[in-house]
Amino acid sequence: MVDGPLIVQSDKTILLEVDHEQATEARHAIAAFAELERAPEHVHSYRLTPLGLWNARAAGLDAERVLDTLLKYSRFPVPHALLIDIEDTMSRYGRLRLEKDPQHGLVLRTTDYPVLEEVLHAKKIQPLLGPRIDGETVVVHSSQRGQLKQLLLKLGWPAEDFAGYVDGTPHPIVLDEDGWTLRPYQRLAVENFWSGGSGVVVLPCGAGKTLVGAAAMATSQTTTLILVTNTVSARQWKDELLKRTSLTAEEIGEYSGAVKEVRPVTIATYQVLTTRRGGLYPHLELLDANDWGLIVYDEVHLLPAPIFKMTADLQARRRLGLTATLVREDGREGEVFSLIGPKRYDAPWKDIEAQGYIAPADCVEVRVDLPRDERVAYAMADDGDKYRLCATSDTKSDVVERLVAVHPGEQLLVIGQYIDQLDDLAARLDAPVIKGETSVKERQRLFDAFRSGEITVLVVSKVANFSIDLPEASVAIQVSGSFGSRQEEAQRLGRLLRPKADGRAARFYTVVARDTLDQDFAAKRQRFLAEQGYAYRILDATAIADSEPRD
Amino acid sequence: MSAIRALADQLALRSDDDVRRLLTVRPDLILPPVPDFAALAARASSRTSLQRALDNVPRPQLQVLEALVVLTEDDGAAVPPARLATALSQDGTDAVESILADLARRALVVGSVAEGFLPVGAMADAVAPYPAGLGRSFRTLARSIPRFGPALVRAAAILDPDSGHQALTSAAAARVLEAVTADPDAWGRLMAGAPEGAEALLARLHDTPVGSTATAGDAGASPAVQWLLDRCLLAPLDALHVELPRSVGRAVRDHAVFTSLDLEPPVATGRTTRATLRDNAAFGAIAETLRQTGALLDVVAGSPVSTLRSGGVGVRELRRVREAVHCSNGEAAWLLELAAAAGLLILDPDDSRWKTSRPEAWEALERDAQWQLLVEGWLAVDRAPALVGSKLPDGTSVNTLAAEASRPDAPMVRQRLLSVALDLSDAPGDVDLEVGPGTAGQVPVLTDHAVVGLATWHQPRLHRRFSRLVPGMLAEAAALGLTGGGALTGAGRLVAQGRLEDAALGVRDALPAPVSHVVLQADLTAVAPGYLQPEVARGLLRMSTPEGQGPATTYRFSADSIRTALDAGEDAPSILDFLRTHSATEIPQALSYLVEDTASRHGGLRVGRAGSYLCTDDDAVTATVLADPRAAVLGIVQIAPTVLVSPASAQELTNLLRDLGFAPASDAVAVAAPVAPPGTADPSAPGRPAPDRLRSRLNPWSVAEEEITAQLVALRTPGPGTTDPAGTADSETLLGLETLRAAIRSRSRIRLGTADSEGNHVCQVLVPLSVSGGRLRVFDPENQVEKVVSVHRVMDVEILEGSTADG
Repeated sequence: MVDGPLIVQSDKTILLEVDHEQATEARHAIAAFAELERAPEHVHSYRLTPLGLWNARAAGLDAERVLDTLLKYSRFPVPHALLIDIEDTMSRYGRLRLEKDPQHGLVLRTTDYPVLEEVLHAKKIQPLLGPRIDGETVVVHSSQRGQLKQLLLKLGWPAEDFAGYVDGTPHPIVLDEDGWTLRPYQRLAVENFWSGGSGVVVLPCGAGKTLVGAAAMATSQTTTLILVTNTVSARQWKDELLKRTSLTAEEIGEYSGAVKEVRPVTIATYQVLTTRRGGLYPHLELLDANDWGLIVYDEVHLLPAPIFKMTADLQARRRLGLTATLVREDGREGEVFSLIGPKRYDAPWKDIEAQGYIAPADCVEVRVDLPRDERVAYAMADDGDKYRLCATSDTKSDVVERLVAVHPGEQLLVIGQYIDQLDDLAARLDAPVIKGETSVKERQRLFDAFRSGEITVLVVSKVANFSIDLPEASVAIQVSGSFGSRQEEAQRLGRLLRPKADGRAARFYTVVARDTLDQDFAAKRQRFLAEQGYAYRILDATAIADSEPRD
Repeated sequence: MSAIRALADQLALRSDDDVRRLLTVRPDLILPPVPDFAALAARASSRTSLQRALDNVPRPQLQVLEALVVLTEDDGAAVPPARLATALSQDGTDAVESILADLARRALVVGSVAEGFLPVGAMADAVAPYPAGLGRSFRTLARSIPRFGPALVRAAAILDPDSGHQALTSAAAARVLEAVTADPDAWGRLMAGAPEGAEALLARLHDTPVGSTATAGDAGASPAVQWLLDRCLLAPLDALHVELPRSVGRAVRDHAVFTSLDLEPPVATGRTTRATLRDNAAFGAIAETLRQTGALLDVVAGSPVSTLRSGGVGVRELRRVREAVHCSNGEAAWLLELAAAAGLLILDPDDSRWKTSRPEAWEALERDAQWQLLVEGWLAVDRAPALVGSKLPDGTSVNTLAAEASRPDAPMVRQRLLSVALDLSDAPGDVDLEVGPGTAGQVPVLTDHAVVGLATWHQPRLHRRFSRLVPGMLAEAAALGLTGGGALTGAGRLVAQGRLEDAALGVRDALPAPVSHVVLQADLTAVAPGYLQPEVARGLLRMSTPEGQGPATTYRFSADSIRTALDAGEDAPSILDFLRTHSATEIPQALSYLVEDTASRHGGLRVGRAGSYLCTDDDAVTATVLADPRAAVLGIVQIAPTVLVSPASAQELTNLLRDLGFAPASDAVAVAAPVAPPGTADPSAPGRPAPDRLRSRLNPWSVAEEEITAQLVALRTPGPGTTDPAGTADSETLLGLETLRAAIRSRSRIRLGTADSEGNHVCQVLVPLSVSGGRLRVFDPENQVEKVVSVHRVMDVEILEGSTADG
């Protein structure tokens, strides 16, 4: 323990020195039980949480191995209290087991009588349970499996689920690896997911999450329900599946506001599922319409609250969550983990970038000085209007024009929050704009034109934040955002990360008004990017010309 | 010959080495020095000295001594080892004889194998009210419980139908009962006829003679209790409590005083831990304790910890410390206690606040020296920090650093704890260190139970103290790395052996070297991969906010933190220079931009303190004022083209201007009176405990080797006029007391000469009842009243032979 790459802190974080020769080895060892929290360039930090430790137990890792790993790679003595805490926490897992009983169906069984008593006396849990069979066993209503698991987790007595999954209707799906192959990390992600049963795969934007979904379907060989964020994204999934698998157009159905098809592989939007009419969810029966063997949740960090509840009822089906950033501004990551499943695969973005699978990105913050009159207006504005005032400053538009001029001929996105500002920019740059009111058809047309290079500059609102595949976009200019949303920042950066044909680096500009709320929000978002390993530069607006052109 | 005389003679015959050994184990005998052996013997026989000696006697010795007290109580005759061995359920006399020899060396018994042994002086008072856990004798009980005497007479008739009727006095009845209980056959016959439950009841009183009958049955005595009470096999103390008379107690113990002699110390239990885990825990704890102590000193240096009027640190102050150091309440209390013990915090008597004493000296120490300082402080402090937070009888709890947690014997208990820990760690016990690869490197774990058990074997009379203090002290030892994962560490072993310097050397090797560089990252943090050199840490603290708890600290930079540094007089180049010097990596562009951007806009608004100001648009006025020599006296400076300020008052400035021929107008802007700068007085005080402090605290009754030698010389040189070994005043009183005690035992009349309040010699014939606390209780048979006489008034005592006062 003289010179390991880890420093174990008493506040339950683990620091990993990336440049250490044993770093990779140590990272793989601790990834099984610790959550990656921050991954800046030199020192990554992981956190030990009960959930992470229990997931490790579920994956067959015992406390002894965890302690050995920590002691082996730690540079300094590991706080003894932490070791004891890990042992205690891990020993709580598996005292309760969910099992299939040939006579009684789903039952909760224990090896530790007092634990069962404690659980039975919890007010919220009582209604989920049926009659008691004997001292150690109690019947569970099978529809309450998910909710029971979630509540047990909150009580601190996570149940080990031995009840297994339904098989689902078999349906042949084969990957069509013609001219491409699954990347090693994608293969690993699918293997981890499949051996774990259900769970979430975290991969950066542009790293091919759709393919992970397709590969999981090919492994499952069953009918599949895919839940996505919007219709454009649903179409992209369909195209991708047609291109990469043996599935034909007849086998893939779309279930959205416009079309309602139920086929062996059905792609539905969250929106249609959560549409409410007269207090009911009319489209909920889709979930039971077929004996789905696999359910894929795209962009799982956006999962709307009603879906949580529906998912709780689907515990007997395999669930795969896909996301780039499992941070939710509402802090409900824990629920995602407990309902869909633990994180099965996660890799620092920089690692995948280093392997050449996503484009390197150069993040630049451009600071703009507001002119005196705007500063005065800002200083005197109500709190509610301040952000809008500073984010939509005219000065910014000038800067955007200059930035666009610096990148002639490159595929360029201008992203913003406020429609007026976007319209103004579109007019100045003579570029089309995509916003909420743009029809799906028009959007498709514009995206296609952008992909083919017909249009080089596209002004988009937040509708383009997610799941839009624009492979050749190499420059993005962000003029305003939804306050300090870290997740939005990551998604917007993600638009640029598809590897470029010529291996160019992507460039991500954020235009920020100095000394205003805009700057504070930007600082918050950038901290997140920096923690993902994206170093960024800060540039004064006056210095734009100096920094270019690029080699 | 009286016991004191016999002891004096024996002591005089001892070799110098023997006397030296005696004085080493009982140093209080020559503090202050004694003139001769008679005085030495007298002091050795006094109750306080005996109690002190008994506190250091291990269990088998104490058992033999208590048995001896029990056996001699009745007749006062010397007890031969064989009888003692029987009373202790021993087959041979070897063990008992060697223990007796040891007790004799400690001057706790006198006598020889051939003549038998007697306890010295006031031993019966010194041991306990219930020696060997046995109750009082029938006769004593009859004297102190009013209706027990008549009950005895009735009981004698029941127990011995043949001759019991002839016992008409309680003394005679007591003899009958003693005869029955002492005879195994008679006792067997008696108990054979006992109702159900009687035996179990007696067995419950096996170890302690007093018990409650409340749990024995419902309201009113159960048949078994009634049966025992009728036969006086139990003495009723009050409605609920009973006492088992001594001879009944011995009958219950198979007619012995002790059913076994605990010759062997209790061995450790078999729990073990891995040596690697132990070291990991210990060094982790050391690093953590040092880090937290440093943080604590920073907090206290910033703002001293105030105390409550009732003493100690209150919960609000404790919470402040806890939040600053990021630890629990208990840890915060312990850190405060530890820092105070090591002399790092001292109480300022002027404002009753705890302040740091020379924090820079602490910071300058190497980490092993810091650790040594803390351990020294902990070993020497006469307080038990673990008692903080425990409940007091009045329902309040003990505050941190309050007087209630002070325990003068704490250093002694700590020393015993360490020596016991050493014994337990070395004891082979159930743990075989060499068996199999799986158990290699296993070390025994010290449980509270095992430590208290062994400590109690060594000093049985301190059992209550050990069981109260030891668990907390073990936790403290763990925080100092003397134990790790419950097992004694290498450092702990050396400390237990008194080799603190060597232990510190070991700690120095084990603690990683301090690092002097940090890793700067684009998320505006600097990570120190380990313990950072204090001066680098201080520099970073000036410009960033620390985060995280543990060996590594993360420093986060923000515009605010950079501004703080700028306020403290830094500028952008100096900040960047500092970072460049101490960074292992390039400074990220975002960070240097942050520093430069903040610095470039720093000072747009400035705040300062001034006594008065002068505003004018006229440059000539400014120049004139500044040019005047008195301007320098008033400290006038120009802070802007049109503004001058001075620390002097507005009145002084006005006077100066008037002298210069101007006519200043007084501004009516309301300005609050300046606040006096906070006092910067920092009383310095000793940081390290004096080298002698530990020794004197461990045992206030310790003597140096030279003192013993000097005393020996004095003892061996007969002084003028001291031919009679018992002729001095000191021993005279003791001899008088011994006569009194003999008279009390035999219930004899004495002729007592006392001094009355005018100093006249008064002579009376009295029956002494008891002597304790410097007071003699006597019965005056002439006037049929009880009186109390102060012992210091007693001038002479003479036993009137053959005049038993019974009846």
